[in-house]
Amino acid sequence: MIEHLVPAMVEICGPDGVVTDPLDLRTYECDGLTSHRAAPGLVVLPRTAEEVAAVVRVCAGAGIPFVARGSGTGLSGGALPRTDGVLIVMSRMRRIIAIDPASQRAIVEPGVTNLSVSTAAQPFGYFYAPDPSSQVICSVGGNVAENSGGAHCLKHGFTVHHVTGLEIVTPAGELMWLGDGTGAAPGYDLVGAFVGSEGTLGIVTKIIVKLSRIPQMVTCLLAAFETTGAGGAAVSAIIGAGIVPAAIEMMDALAIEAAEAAVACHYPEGAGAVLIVELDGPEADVRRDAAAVRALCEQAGSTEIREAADPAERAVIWAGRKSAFAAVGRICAAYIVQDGVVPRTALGPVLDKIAKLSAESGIRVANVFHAGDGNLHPLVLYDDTSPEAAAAAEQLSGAILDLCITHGGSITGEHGVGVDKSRYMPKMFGADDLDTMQLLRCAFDPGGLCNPGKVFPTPRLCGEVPGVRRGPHPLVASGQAEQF
Amino acid sequence: MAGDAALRALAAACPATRSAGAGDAVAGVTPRYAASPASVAEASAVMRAADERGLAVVARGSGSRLDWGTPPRRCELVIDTLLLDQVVEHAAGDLVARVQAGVGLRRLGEVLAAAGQQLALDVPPGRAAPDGQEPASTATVGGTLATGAAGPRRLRYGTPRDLVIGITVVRADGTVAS
Repeated sequence: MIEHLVPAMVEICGPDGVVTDPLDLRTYECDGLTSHRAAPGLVVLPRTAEEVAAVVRVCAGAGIPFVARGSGTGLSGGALPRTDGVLIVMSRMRRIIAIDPASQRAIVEPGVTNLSVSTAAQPFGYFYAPDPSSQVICSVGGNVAENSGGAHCLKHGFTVHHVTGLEIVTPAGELMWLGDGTGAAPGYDLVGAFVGSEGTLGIVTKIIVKLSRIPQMVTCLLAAFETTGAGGAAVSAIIGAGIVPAAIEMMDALAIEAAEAAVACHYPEGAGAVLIVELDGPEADVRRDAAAVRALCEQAGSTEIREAADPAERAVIWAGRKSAFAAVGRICAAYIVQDGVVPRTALGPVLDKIAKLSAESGIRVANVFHAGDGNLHPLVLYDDTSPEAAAAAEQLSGAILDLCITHGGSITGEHGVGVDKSRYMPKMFGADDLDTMQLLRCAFDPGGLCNPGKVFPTPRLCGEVPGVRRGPHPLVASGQAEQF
Repeated sequence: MAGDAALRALAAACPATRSAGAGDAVAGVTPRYAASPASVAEASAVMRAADERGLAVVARGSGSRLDWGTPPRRCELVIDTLLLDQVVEHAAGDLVARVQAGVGLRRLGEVLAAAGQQLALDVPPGRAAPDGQEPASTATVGGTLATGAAGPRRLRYGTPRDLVIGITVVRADGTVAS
């Protein structure tokens, strides 16, 4: 269907930069959300921004949809390919162009892995703050697309807070810059609009990120509680006291059990929940805050508190948390990673209701999450040999999102909407809200070729009057446009 | 007079609408009408009425920096946010406040301080009134967001876009979106 593009793509990316073999194409059929799969029509691996622009121009000229992909670790299917389209894989664009400690910034290509930015900045005393759990492998370009967060975003902010300039290829194939690297460029904040747009506004080819000073001291406390509700109360108390830890993570009993079996993290036995509270900054601040956190956890009924004495002990505390997702896989082969947000003050009631939903349905749910910013990651466990069990798990997972919305939260904290959650968007946004977002999308991508089918439940054609659709769009009816 | 018809239509949408005078000028451009919607619904209705009549609209907060930008090429209607002055909610435990656009930064600061919190934006309060008095209302939350204004503490705490987590806007045709 799109074989006719191959010669042009080989001309642009070279023979080793174009994948056409059906078996090789299957390598790219999904990202981290493996329940959605589609082998791409064609894969290209450009090496430069100019090559990306040329590839996009070919696609735009031929009316062929295209999808960008970083490392493929996304959890919402944002990089799900199209069988009738071109997948543009950024993994060969992995140069760190500049580390500029004097200006506290770095310029990188999109295929650079998240952690390698920090590694490169480390000799200068700096690091790149947004730290998704997949930071060893996930790409900065993918982080920009999904506005990725991580455990330490509670204090340090998300990707959008650390990007000050983007070189992009527009859906028409033009190469241009958004922002100027200062974070204070006049005019519309298009960097802010682009970060988190899930690949629907264009393809990023260079990124200017802020670097943060490596803190003088880091310490970590592990506090055990009888229930997640008590742990949630401790979280509220810590934040309410004006302390902003670098991270506050919570794990419930099932997650602790799984981590124990996997990495023998030796969390306090019989705990219904543990909090991992990390503090960083000047030594005097960290010591004062650690004492305050300890007291607040005790007041909230903590049964045991440990503090890491050195980096090795800190690593041991984190080992349980960092292994948790994989560890849950040992007690149940298949699970859905949900990603929802609730106001911090609603953590206790929402966790109780999730437990109730779990008990009523007989489906186990493990909770491992960023408690400090109310970002839940319930893992819904199911037997993947049974279609009924999978459907029931999906239903429970959706019910958890409904809970988040009714408590004033959000359907995603950091994993994005992608294909996975587009159907939930109308639960959170009205028709006029979605229409406003689509106006932005159409301004960048009037042809609807750039990562179509993501984010929006019912894509709109540019110029279409919003509202209930009564029959096909006139452009579709006349064969001038196609809806994906 | 056609102008009266337009005024009647605007006033039907937003009761606090009047003929504008020299004091309503935006960087030297005097509008014909001035409206002060008291709710999102009124703001939406008056924007829709203006859109239907092709009136060019300029939004204003307290006007503390109204003449900083280039003068508008056209301005038939100025809509201010001064009646949208409610602090809707301060969820202190969540470190979140929900306010209407016309709330002054100084007043918001006082509300937040009651819970030991602050909005970490030190936008200068704006110049004194012509009579030399301290301005009654300081820069508003809406105006601060619209201009992306920030004070010296931006170095540590960032700019408005780093601190805002959601907005409700009235589009030029009156559509309300969040």
